[in-house]
Amino acid sequence: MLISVYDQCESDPSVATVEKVAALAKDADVLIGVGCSFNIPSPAICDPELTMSLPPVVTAFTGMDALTHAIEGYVSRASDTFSEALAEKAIKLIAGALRRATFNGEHDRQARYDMMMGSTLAAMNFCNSILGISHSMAPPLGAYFHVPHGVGNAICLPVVMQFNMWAYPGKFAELARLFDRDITGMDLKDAAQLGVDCVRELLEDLPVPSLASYGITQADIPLLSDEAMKGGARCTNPKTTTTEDFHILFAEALKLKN
Amino acid sequence: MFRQVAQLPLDFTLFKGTGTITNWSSSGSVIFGFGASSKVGEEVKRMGAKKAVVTTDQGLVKLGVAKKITDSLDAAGIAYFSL
Repeated sequence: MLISVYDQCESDPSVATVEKVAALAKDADVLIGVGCSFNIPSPAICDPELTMSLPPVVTAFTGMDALTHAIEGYVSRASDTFSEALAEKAIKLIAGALRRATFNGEHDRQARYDMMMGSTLAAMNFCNSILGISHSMAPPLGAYFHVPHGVGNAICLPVVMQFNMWAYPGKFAELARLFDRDITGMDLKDAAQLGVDCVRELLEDLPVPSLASYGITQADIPLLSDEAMKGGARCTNPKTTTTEDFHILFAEALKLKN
Repeated sequence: MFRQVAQLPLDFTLFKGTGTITNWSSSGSVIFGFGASSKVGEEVKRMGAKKAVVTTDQGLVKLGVAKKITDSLDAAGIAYFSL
């Protein structure tokens, strides 16, 4: 059985033995993805009924997590046409339903249905195209400050998108269209920026707690950045990253939702 | 017992293009919709399983979410234990 640990790799995932993965999981209080063909379910059963009474805050950050999967998979360096098609539909569904699912709760069955569908499509996408550095930044936030994974991704996503925008401006412009904005006649730069802004605005509208509310300060940035450098998803992120990049990204993330 | 599914592309290629061979894989089937959780027992039975493990937490037990799954297993006559 082959299990890959995507750590400290820029282009070539190191292959570890099962023992190594187990040791990693035991020593560190970190979310570590373990992927192998035995992890793929034969059937997946997805029931939006089970999410009907999910409280607004949890709906908001788990929904942003699903959006992070869709967007990071969409712009990943390992993306392919199958994954892109799924990601585009996922983003469109989540963009249209996340505010409604958060604020209408159990009164909006269609929004819950769309969120479950968007989240399922997004996962089918990112399992194949892997993710980006929002998924390198969220795990250390969870490990050291118990920030829920979804909150970490929700806050990091717009910051990471701004950082990555120039790698694939065409795809970021397409995001604006998926958020139902008209980009006809717009400059590619403006359209791509609009794509990023759509996600930033969505985050502003949602009741997601700030990183500061978990007691994170500027002083914690070096530690978080060093840990983020060990994040696996770095190798498929549109842009290559350094520790200094993460210093800037975490500083930006700290400013959001305050 | 379990359907063999394709190998996840762990040896994934960056910048997949027309010059590369793409291995795209997903779960065998997706059962989706309001009330889909009632199909759990039926599906487990179809896979030929006799016993199941239900992984859950106190919150889901309290909210009755876990019960929807265990009810479905009960209806299909599948023995289970919860973690």
